Amino acid sequence: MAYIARRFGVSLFIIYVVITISFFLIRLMPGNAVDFLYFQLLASHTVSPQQALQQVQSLYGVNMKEPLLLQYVQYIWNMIHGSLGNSILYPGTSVLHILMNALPWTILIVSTSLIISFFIGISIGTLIAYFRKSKFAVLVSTIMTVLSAIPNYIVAIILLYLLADIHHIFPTGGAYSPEVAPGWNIPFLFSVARHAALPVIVFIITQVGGWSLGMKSSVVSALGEEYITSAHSHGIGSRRIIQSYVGRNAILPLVTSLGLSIGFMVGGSVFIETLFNYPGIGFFLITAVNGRDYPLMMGAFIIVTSAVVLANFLTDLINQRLDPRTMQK
Amino acid sequence: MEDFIHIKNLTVSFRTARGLLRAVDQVTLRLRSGEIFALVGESGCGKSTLAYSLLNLIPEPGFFETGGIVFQGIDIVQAKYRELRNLRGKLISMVFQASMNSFNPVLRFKNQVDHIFDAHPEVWPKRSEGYAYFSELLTLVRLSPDQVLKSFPHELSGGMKQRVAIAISLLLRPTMLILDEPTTALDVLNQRLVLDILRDLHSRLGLTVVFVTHDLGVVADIADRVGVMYAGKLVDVGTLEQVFYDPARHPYVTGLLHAAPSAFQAVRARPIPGSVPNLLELQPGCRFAPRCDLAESMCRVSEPELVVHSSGHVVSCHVMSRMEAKEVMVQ
Amino acid sequence: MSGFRELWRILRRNPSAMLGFGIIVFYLLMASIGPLFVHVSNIENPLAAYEPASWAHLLGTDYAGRDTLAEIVDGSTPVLIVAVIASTFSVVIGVIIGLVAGFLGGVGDNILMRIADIFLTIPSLPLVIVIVTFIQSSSPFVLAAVIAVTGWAGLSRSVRAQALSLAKRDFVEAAQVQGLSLYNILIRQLLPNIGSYVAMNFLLGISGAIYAEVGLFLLGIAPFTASNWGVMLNFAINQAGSIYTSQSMLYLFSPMVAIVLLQVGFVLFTRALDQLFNPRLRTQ
Repeated sequence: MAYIARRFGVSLFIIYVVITISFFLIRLMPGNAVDFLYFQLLASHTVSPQQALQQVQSLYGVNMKEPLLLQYVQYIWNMIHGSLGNSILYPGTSVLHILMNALPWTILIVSTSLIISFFIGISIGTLIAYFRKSKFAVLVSTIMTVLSAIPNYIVAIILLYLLADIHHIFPTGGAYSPEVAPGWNIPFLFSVARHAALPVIVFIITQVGGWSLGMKSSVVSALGEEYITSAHSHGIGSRRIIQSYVGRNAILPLVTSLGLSIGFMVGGSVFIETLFNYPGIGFFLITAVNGRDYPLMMGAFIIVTSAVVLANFLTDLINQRLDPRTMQK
Repeated sequence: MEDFIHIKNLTVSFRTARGLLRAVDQVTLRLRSGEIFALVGESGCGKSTLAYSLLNLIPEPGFFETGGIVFQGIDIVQAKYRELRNLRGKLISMVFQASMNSFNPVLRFKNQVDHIFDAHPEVWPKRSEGYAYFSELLTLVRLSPDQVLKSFPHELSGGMKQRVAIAISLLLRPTMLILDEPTTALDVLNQRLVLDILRDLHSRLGLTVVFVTHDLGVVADIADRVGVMYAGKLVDVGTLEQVFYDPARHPYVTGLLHAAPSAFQAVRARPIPGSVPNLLELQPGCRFAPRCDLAESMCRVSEPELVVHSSGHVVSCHVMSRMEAKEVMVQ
Repeated sequence: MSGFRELWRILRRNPSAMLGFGIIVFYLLMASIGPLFVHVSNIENPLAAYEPASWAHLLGTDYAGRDTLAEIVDGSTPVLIVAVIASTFSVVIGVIIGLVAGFLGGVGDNILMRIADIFLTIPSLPLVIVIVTFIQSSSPFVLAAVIAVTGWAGLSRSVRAQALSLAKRDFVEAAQVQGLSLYNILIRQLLPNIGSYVAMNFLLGISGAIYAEVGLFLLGIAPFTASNWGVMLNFAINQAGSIYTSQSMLYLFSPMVAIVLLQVGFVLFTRALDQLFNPRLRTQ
């Protein structure tokens, strides 16, 4: 319990650091976004300095004329209350509202493809570890190596190119068709699955190589462990040895790297969501960057990093459940 | 006594980048029912490989090159996987050198014991009786059954795990138990405890024990008969008295006894000069000749065979065979 | 130097490692002297757009009638320059922080490793995107530095672990007893021992930087002065709509093949290095 509490504390601290970085970027960098907007408003001669200050405050949630430390405290206070300011590109909409609608879609495609690629990967990895001397396993290993080297956005572009003509099968935009009513009904869920299919396929293709190769080397080293020989010496069947002795132990280092992988995939979702016009957090991050919508951009950054930090915390918990040796620490 | 297990001309080889390495080279050995047989030698002499062979558990890239191991009418070397599974754990079981690593780290002992019951359901048709017997065994090795069963391996000390390994190896009431250096990784107190337990178990259960070790003190403590291996060859087999006191024993055994700082020798320990030959670059003649005080020109030309002396002591040494022959003539 | 001989021995025995090594050398040559041999025209001639492969244009032409091969060769230089500088930065930062943490110990070590943990946890790409957006510099050094900010943490952890374990070994103590300076201990004793980590991380760092950098150009986030593969893809997808016409296949796929081939080269080569540095894996 103490371990979990401590890990959770560390996670919260990292989120706090992320918010601090974000404040530094919008407020303290030379030519920072807050100053820029203020002087732009003044230069437009349409508003009084007082009105300009108010506009800045409604977008970024800080009062420029107050001492910096106070602004910093105010900023953090706003962020932990979910007041991420208002969007410039989507006037009158709060950043939090946009991002809370976007976050589930990113979680959907990242977690779906993570789970699928993880399980395909450990199955292939176990197979090619057991048959590592055979020609077939060498071939599969090579294919996995090449797959792991291909950047995800390249796979996305290739799929876009190949499927552009038949996009009635896989739509290239949105999270679901506007013709269906959101809710727990079959047409809606089917539409969601169809829209998520391409991003998920891209992630699976580009992630499965890494998992397979990782599992392969992990299985090979587990096979050399004394407890495998010992299990054989008791006459325990091969199937059970593969599952409960080799597999169960070989998977542990991969579970440890789940956290890193989630961070990498969420980063990659920026490319994938943008290329497929899929309205997740990454899509809005790039939309905000291109439209110079700094409140939305920083909001997306904070939400996406916090989500990854919390996902890391969750994988820590899973890891702890799977490996009894970590429980005491 | 009848033969319990018969190892016939067994050669176990490993494929290496520089050729075949014969870790066990044409070994012939008969074990008797109910005895404690100690297999002795320096590390790398092939004693562990020979022990693993008894369960057909040769690690990759090793394989049986020649010979066989006959046990209860089946040849372990040729046996099919199903026959081996039936044999392993149930008829012959093994305790490994590093028992601290011989348990699955992510499963409680209860689960691991269950897996063994599952593998041989016919031994304990009633699982509860199996557990009762296991509790008895754990008590014999001086552990608390309830506590052990619910523990994970990392929660017990090395000595405790060694004793759990011994208890688990007896779970299916095997007729033979192989112990590969069961005391090497333990401190002196635990060594003593494990030896006491083994002697106790042996007298209660009457099983045949193969005890692999390099520690002659332990051998003197526990063994009925001793086999000594050197560089893949079995060079000396006899009763404890023969191996320790017969002047016609193999010169290597004499060297080992002198090298051991123990109660047998008042003189200071004197290590054998030189080192074990590289099995990939063997010279003709006796493998021990380069390190042997008694070596003659013949020893560097032809490899000695195992010869049964009139006392029943089996030795492979040209010099000792000749002395034995003279003695017989005098008589 | 025996390291190079060992590397060569492994390359000779392992065809895929040799292939990877060959690919990397080929790209380095292309990026360093290739631009001397090609000329990317400034003239736009839409009538000559998307020509198929011919002797005049081995990879056809782009949406403006320019030679695709020339663009690929010319675009390799900025891609590799940024990637190599970024990886150098992150390796230098990683080694320095790792060594300082390892030798400092105590509170300083703790603080540095907490910082490394934070950078390991924060997803690097969103951070890079946000910083690049604010900085808006087309200097390759600035872009490289931003990419490097997120890449040093892993290496610093392994260097620290290595420094800690080496500091306990005899020869460092012996060196200290002999009165050798800390500098001497670092340069003579420790650096050779962490060389393998540095080499691996340097190569993986280049590969990762290429991924991030091309992606940034592809999305049009990073400002650029000269064209490169990412910019080519950006134009093909966003401006010229090449993705919607089948004639443009050669133009669209050329930069993608260029990127994938280089990344495959890195993976094959780093796998061979891994074998070199972890001999245990070699026999398996």
